[in-house]
Amino acid sequence: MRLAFEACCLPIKRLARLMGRAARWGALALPGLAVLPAAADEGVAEIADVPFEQLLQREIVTADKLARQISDAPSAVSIVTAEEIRTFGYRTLSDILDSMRGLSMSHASDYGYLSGRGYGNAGSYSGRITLLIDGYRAPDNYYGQTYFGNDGLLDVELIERVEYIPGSGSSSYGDSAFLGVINVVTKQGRDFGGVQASTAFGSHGLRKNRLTFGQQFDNGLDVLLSVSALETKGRLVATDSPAFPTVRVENEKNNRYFLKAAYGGWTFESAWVDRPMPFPFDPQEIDADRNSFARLKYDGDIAASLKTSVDLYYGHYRYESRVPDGAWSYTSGGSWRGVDAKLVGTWFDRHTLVLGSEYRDDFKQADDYFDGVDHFKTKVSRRTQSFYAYDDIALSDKLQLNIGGRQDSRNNGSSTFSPRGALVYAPVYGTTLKLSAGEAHRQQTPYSEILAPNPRVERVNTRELVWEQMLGPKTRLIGSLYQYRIDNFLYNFSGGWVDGNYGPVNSKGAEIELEHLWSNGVRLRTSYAHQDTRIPNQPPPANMARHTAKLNLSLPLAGDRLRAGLGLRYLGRRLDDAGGYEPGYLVGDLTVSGEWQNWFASLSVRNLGGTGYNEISYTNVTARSAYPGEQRNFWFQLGYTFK
Amino acid sequence: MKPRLPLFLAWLFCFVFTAKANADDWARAVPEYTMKAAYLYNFAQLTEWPAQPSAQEEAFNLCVYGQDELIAALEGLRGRTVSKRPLRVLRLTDMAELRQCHLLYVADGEGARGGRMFDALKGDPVLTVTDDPRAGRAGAMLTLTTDDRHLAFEVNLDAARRAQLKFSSKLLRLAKRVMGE
Repeated sequence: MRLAFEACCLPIKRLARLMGRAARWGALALPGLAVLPAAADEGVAEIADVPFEQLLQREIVTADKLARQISDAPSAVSIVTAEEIRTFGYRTLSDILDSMRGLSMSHASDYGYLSGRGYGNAGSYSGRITLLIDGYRAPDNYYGQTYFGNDGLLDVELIERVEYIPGSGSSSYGDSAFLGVINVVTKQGRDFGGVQASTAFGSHGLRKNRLTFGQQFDNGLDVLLSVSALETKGRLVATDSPAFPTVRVENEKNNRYFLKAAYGGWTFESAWVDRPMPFPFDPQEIDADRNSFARLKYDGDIAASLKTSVDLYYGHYRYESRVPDGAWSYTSGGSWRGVDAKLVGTWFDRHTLVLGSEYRDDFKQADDYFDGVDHFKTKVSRRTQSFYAYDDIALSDKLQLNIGGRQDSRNNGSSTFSPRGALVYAPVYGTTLKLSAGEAHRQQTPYSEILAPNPRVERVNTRELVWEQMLGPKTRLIGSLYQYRIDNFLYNFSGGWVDGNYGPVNSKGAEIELEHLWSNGVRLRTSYAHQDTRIPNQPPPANMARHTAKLNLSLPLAGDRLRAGLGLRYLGRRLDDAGGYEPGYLVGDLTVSGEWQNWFASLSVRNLGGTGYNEISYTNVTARSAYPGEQRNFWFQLGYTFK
Repeated sequence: MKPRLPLFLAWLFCFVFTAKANADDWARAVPEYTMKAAYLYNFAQLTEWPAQPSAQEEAFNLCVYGQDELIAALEGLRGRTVSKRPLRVLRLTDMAELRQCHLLYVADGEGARGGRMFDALKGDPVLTVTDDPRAGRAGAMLTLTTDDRHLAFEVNLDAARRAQLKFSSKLLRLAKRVMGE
């Protein structure tokens, strides 16, 4: 016991010191770290002689594995699992994506913005990247925006895994998946097996409480119900405005609710979030984002070689800006509903055929500005009928061809077709080469149509070659070369930028990622992404870093009881909106987490080295759109599961 | 930030996680692949294959597609027999080798290819087992699942019937779920 105690506390004391004072990078090696050997195993020979009934009752120690991609996409997919969310202390979807190869997040006082292949400046991902929650398309139907922070629909504790699929997913998910898909899979009730209560607090007066019930009943019904509330006082940042030398930002609250119930092939799922926050330049003004959805899905077998999946959904988003005296107000948002049905057939030898149809009714897309006297309203609606089909053909044992496409037809008469093709070649076990090409078209969101009426239809052509190599069971290397060309690119965010068609935007890039698991429980994932984006005869778009690098290292402390997770994020220099270069930065985050019986606790220090840096978002704090990144801050979580 | 709070939190950690360190919970837990190897051995014992003329001479071929760790664990079963035939573990690298298998195990992450292997077998008497949910849906007879630190399994009776394999009542009783009854 004493040994374990010292093994734990020696690095922890150092960790505390790191938190208390400015840390030097050299100190991150955590000297004094002790990895205790695993207990001696009973051999398989003894285990195989245990009566099978008794064997079923024995607990297992899950082996360390490299996470495998679950989506069929032929591109270089990035994966973050629930275990990594805990190990690295990710608080939001923004933190999760920021740890992935080639991606980076920037923030403004209100929202988080994603940058990746072919897109960088704030708002440019809106309507071009889609978020799928268990297959449900979550972006709103007015701005086309995905909400990554405390404005997002899900508590990360409910997430089983996140996959980011770069490249156009429009051939499967329609035009909102123009440049990429974030695929989130939520946990099941049985993953909790009881009631879990957790509390968290951190810098800037952050408090979060969550209560989750999850259970699978004997009749097979699996229920997950969760509620949470968060509050933070935010932080002060300097602005360019002489009238407001500093403003308080990120002082937000949220409430969330999530319900999932699965029985047989049926799944009902619903989520809701409300996030009010004061406007930094007038704290009397409260801006609130409210997102919600409900869906019912059925998966079943019609015949031995025919499966079906039917999904009915409804979603709602509302943004509201209000001042207490009612002198003015602004609301925007929309409602949508739809049905998606598909058939998966394996009638023909060597073919897996998917045929599907979706009808989506965006029956409300509206805004309303009230100036104290009059209301100025816009309201539109859209109906979209889509058909999609793909075939996965096994040309030989080693070579697979996937071809397909999706046709989206709108009630305004416009119609687009997004085809895709991929060859997957696996010459030997452990080696996979994927070559893919696709074309996608994108309709503007209602919000960008107001800013730039009658834009030309955006089109992207993507080509990618991916090489996945297993170097033994615990080492994986992924390399990717890609080329994207976006025609008629439209900046769909105002605030100093020209609204209108640009193009073509040409992006070329190379990415490499290495993952390795050591037998003593140490895990490493590290990546480098190089991107070169150009617009002919114009400066490159803002916030597109040429170099992005990530490192995630985690190791057990004190046997298996504690785990330390270190994340490093490097983002190279990139242009701001004033045409200058914002310097690159390296930020490190450290989390120590542990589980003991039904307890869970973790302590995270983000921006460990206290790096001063700016993110490029949009011009609401400084004219050149630089937003100061968060200084060193900490976050502590404690949870208990009543089984 | 005051340095005292982090120090306090660090100490709290130590108390919660090590002060009452208790090795009992861990002593009886079995490494995943050791357990999976033992399950495969039990599955083979509790399944009846249709009589084949030359069955007595040949070995019982347990084929594994993927997961080298499982193959290593299965090595510990060297010298054992299944239906009086010596157990032989084969690492499958090519679909052409499929037909010599009596038990085919498709590892996690190989689901898409697993489905094609099951299609290629087309009712041949090969017991198919997987821990990949996708291969499970694609028609494996037995699917391993991990449930709150326990290894459980589901049975697909239709697939077994097509291959003329019979499961013992004990196997069916111990299954978490039996489909196609």
